[in-house]
Amino acid sequence: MMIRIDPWPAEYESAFQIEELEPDSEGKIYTDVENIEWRAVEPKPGPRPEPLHFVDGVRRVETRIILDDETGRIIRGLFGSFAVGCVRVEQNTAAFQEIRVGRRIVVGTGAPLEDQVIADANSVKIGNTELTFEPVAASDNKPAAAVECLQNSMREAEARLAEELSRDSACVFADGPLTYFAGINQPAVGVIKRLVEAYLPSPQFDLVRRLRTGRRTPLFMITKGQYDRYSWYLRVGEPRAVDHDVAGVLRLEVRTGLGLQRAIELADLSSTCLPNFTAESFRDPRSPQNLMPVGSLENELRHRLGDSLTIRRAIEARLFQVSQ
Amino acid sequence: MSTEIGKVLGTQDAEPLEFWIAVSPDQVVQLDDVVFVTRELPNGGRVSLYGIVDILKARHEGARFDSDVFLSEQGIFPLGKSIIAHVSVTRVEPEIFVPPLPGQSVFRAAGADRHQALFFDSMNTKFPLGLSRDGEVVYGNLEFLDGSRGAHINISGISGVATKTSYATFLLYGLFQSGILEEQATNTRAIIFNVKGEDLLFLDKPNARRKPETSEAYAKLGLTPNAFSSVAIFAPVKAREEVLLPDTGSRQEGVTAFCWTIEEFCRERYLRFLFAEADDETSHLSAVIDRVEAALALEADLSPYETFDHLVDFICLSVTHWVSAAQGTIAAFERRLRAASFRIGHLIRGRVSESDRHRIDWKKKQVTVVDIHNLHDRAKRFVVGVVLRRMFEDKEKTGTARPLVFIVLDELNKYAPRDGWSPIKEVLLDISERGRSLGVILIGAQQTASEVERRVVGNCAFRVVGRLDLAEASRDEYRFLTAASRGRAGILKPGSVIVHQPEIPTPLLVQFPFPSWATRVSEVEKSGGGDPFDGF
Repeated sequence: MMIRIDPWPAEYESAFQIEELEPDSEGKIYTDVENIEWRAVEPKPGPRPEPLHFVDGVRRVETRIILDDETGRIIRGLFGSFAVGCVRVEQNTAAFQEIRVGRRIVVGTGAPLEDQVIADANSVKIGNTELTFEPVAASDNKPAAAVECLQNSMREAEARLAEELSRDSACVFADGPLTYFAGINQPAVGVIKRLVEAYLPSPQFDLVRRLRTGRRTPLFMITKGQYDRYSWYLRVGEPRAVDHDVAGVLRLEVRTGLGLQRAIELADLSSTCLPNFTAESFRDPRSPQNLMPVGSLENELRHRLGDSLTIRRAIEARLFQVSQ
Repeated sequence: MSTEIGKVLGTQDAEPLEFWIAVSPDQVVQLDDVVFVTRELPNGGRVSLYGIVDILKARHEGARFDSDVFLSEQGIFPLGKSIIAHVSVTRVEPEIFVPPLPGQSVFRAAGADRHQALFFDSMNTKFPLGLSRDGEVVYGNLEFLDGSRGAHINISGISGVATKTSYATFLLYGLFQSGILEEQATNTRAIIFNVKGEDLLFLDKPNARRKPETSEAYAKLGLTPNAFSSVAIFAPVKAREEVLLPDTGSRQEGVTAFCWTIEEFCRERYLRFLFAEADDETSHLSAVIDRVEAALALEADLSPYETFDHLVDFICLSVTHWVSAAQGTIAAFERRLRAASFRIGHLIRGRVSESDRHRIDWKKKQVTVVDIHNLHDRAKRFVVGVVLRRMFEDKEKTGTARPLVFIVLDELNKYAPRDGWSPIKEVLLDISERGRSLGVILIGAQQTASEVERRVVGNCAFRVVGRLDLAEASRDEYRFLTAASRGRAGILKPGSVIVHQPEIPTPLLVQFPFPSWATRVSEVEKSGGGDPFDGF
C-alpha cells in the first residue's frame, strides 16, 4: 500500500463548520421544570464560587492523503492535529492549564490501520520534536468523514478533560453541547454559541429576544433517550442596532443527572458570572457570545498545534521517505 | 558556579555578536550581568560566546490590545508573561564567529567563566576598577595604564555628584594599595590638583564615618580601607601677608604654603604661564613673551626686586629695550602682565626664607596634593602649568619611565580647551602624547569631554563616565557608550561610573566604595579619641 498526498487543500471542508449532530426534532421539550412563571430570571449576584474552568478545543487538517492499495479503490484520509485545554479562573488570575495536543492519521474504511506503511509514516520528526500521528479509522469513505472523525477525537478529548476538571471545579464551562460526556452528574455546563434551532415554541421564545444582559429564561428540559438535559438561554451582551435580536444570547445546558436544584444553581451562577467574561467587539469578532477566556484559549491552542506549513512539509518529506 | 538563566530564543535573530535570550521565570537577570553560551559545532569543535546583558524587556504574550492588561489583571483574560534579555558579545573563544542556536542554555558567568568573559584571565597585571552590580570585582588591565600598551584615564561627569575626583582618588588608592606596582609602589608618585572645595585636603586622614559595608567592599577589592599613607599637602600662600601661611579654610596643620621666588620665576622661564589664557595666542605677543623670558633668565642681579610688582615695573620699563615690537603689541603685553600680576603676584615673592620649604616638591611624598581652589582662574592656570612643566622636565631628565607619576587634574576643559592655544594646553598635549613613554599618566576629568582638546581625550586608554547630561551623552566623544549605557549615564548615582577599556568591547558599569579617607573636616577621626570633657 502507498500513501499519497491529496493535492486538495487541507482546510477546504473545514472552512465551514461541521454541525454537531443534534437530532433534536425527536426530542421533547418541557418548559415547566422550574415550576415558575415563564419570564426572565435575574439571579441575585453573590460571591462567585471558585475555581471556574473554561474548556475548549481546536483542530486542524495538516494534509489530506489518499491510500492506494492497488485495487483501484480511493481511500481518503488525512493527517490532523487537535488541541484541548482549559482556562482556570480563580479570584483575579486566569491561566491556561492542561493543554493537550493530539495528532491523528485518519484513514477511510477499507484500509487496515495496522498496515506497515501507516506505522512507518505516522512518526514525523521536526527539530527536537517527534510528532506521532495515531491511526484512527473514519466511519466511511466520504471526504467529509475524515474531518468528522478528527472532530470527534477532539470532542472526546474535550469531554475527558472537562470531566477530569469537574472533580475540583465549581463549574466547568465546556464548548458546545454535552453530547460527548460519558458521566451524567458532573458540574459541567455546555455553552452553545450558535443558536441553530429555536428549541422553544414561539410564545416562549419571544422571551429570549427580550432578555436583558445577565438574565436567563427559566430552565426547560430536553429529553432524548439517554441524553436528557436541562437548558436555558442567557443573554451575555446587548446586540447592536444592526444585529439580530438574539445576538448576545447563549444557550446553556447541563445533564439532568445532576438534579434540578444543582441545575438551577449552575444556571444562576452562569447568569451572574458569564457576562463579566464577554469581550468588546473590537477584541473578538464573535463577541459577545465568544467569551474572552475561550477566545484567548483558542489562540493559545492553535499556537500549540505548531506551525502548519512546517508540519505539512515534514509530513511530505516523511511520506516521500517511506515510499522510497 | 555558573547558573542557567535562560535559553537563546528563536523569535529574533541570533547573531555571532549579539543575541536575545528568554529568561527563565525563576531567575533574576539584571543589566550588566555577565553571561555565556557554549555551542558544539558539527565538526566536534566548541565555541563559547561571552557577553553582557545590556537590554531587558518584559511583555505580555498573547495580548493584542494595550488594554488587555486590565482584563488579565481581573482574571478574565489569560495572558503569558515573558522577559527577554539582549546580550552584547564581549568575547568569542576560540575566535570562530558563529551564532548561538535557539534553545541553547545561557549561563550567568561566575568565577573563571566570568574572568574569561571580561578578559581578566588574559590580563597579566590588573588593578581594581570597582565592583560590578552583582558585587564582583571588575579589573582594568594595567598594561593599558602604565604606558606599556596605552596610558591615561579620562573621566566625564556633571559636577556636584562627587564622582569624578572621588573615582580618580579611588583608582590611585587601588593602584598604590593593591600591590600590583610591586617594589615600585614606594617610588611611584601622584600629583593631585584640588580645584574645587577642600575635599582632597584630608587624604591622609582616615574617614571616621566609614560604614561596615564600605570596609566589606574594600575587602572584596583586595584593599584595606585606610587613608593614603604618604601625603604632602600644598596650598598657596595667603595674599597680603608677609608671613607665609597656607590659604586654606578647614585645615592648616600639615599644610605647606607654596610660592615661588622671583629668582626661580626668571631663571626657570615661568613668565609664559602668566599668559595662559587660551585666547592669548597672537604670534606677536608670544614673540614678546619669549624675548622677555630670555632677557629675565639672563638678568644678572634680581635681588633689587622685593615684590612681584617691582619686577613687573622693571619688565615694563625694560621691555622696549629687549624687544622691538609694535607699540600696540607692547601695550597688550603690559596690560596682560599687570592683570596677571594682580591675581598671581602674591605667589611670586622676592625674599623667601627657606625657599626650598615652600617649593612644591612632588618627589617627597607618594601623593602631593596641590590646592588651588581658592585661586583665580589665571592663577590656577599658572600653578598647574608651572607644576606640570617642572615635573615633566624632571621626568625627561631622568629618562626612564619608571617609577610612574600620576597626574589628577579636574576641569580639564579649562587647561586644555578644544579651541585656542595656551602654554598649559601644550604641556598637557605633551603629557598625553609623550607621557606614555615617560611614565607620566594623566587622570583627567571634566564635565564635558566635548569641550576638551580631542587629542587629550583621544589618547586616553580608559574612558570613564559618571552621570552625564543626556544632550552631552549623545555627542561623538561618547561613541564608546552603547545606546543602553548612554541612557543610563543620565541616571547614574554617585559612586557608579561606566568604564570603557581597550580590551573589553562593551563599557562596564562599576561601583566604587565610599572613600575610606576623610573628604571633609567632619569626617576626620579625632586623634587621641574620647571626649575632652569626659572627666567633668
